Amino acid sequence: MTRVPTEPSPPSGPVSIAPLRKTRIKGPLYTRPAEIEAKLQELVGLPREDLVRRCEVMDEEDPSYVHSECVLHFVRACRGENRSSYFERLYKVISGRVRQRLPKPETGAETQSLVLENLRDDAFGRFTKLMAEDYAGYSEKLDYYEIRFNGAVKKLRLDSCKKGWREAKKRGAPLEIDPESGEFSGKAEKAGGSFDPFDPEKFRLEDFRSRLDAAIDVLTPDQRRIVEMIRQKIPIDSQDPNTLTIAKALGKSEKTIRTYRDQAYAAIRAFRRPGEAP
Amino acid sequence: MSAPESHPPLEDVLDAYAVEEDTGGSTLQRYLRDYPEYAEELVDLSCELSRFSARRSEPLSADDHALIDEAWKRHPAGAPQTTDDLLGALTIDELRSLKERLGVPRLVVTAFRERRIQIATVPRRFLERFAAALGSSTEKLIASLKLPPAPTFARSYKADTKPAADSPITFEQQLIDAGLSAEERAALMAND
Repeated sequence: MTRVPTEPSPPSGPVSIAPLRKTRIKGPLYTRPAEIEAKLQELVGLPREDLVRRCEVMDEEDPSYVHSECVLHFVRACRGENRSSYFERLYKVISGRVRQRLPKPETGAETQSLVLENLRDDAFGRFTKLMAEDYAGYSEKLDYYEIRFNGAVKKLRLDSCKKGWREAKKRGAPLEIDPESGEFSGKAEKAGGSFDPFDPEKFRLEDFRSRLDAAIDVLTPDQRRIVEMIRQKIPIDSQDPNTLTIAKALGKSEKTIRTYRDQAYAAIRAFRRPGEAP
Repeated sequence: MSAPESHPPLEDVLDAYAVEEDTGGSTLQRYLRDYPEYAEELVDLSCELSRFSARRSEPLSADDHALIDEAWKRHPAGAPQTTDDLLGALTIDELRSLKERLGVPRLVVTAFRERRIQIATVPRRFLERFAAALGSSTEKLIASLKLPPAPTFARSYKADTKPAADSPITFEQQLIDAGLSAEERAALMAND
């Protein structure tokens, strides 16, 4: 009589989930957040087909949606299974999750679209390389994606951005601002009044926030850093020598920081999306 | 928080910051105090982490699906199961980079390339690192290293007689021949 293969029956007690291997900067191993460990415990006992189907749900608002941290764990857990179709399906799910998390260009701005598409593809290429390394042995770098997937993907994108900045620098792409004089080469005027790009009233609006991101993208690196530190409520300067300030962290004078901030705010205020009326 | 005694690499610091539960102002300030030498990079990452993410994920486009299928074909598990000579196709630069990633002299890489090392004597851990450096799987690497010996034209053109294929030697013997110290050999032979 031929035996029909059956799914393993769900475990009755807690199942041992393989720990992460990456060590923290100051010593102990990284661990997954408690809610991710709990989710893994809940999902690991599901019949394989059910588990993979749940992982294939891509809409975060669907109640059966599985967190990407968990999906990645299951991809890695079944990588030893020789040419398993489950591995292929989960590999494609996690790849889709990465692509979903990488910002897409908006329609209209051709040059910016090209840059953003290249960034997405470069970042995705980096991720697939990590997956190949993990398949060959173990990539500790992928452990970060099991801890906080969105943060790790954002870091991945930043690596691709940096590559783009280095290439632009090599090509001698013009900066909008003269780093010596701090003067603009055109485009933006000095911001007057009390313009605040992080006005809490406006900041709650999704469209405003995505627009703000697009505006910040066109700032010079120094301007962008200053705007980000203001957003994080770090003071420009302080009488208290123990207070961390923007001037201290970036090694620039208070006056320079204020000038850059005004120029950055002016550029943000003047920013228009393609086709947008002034 | 007091400054750490050692200076961890930039990548470790950025990766750690990216997976913090709270990446807001107080966490950024803590990292800036602990790692002032990485201030610009930390703020760049903070900017990326602050970037707005739409609550509802958009469905994938046809282009996304095509790229994912393409990525799967290039993945070691998705590629057709043929035995390729993984080392034979490498350029000089790639061989140099491989040698550096593995931490072995060029002679050792050349010996692998010409299949003059007994694969059974190579520690699994080294094979895993080797495969990872090639972006391949350990199984594929082993299959590749077991292909019939590759000719050694470059090193034999001055010989008066036709070169005879040497018998493969152990990995450790190859490390000794390449002049590695006992300590260096022990590190490469470690299997945990």
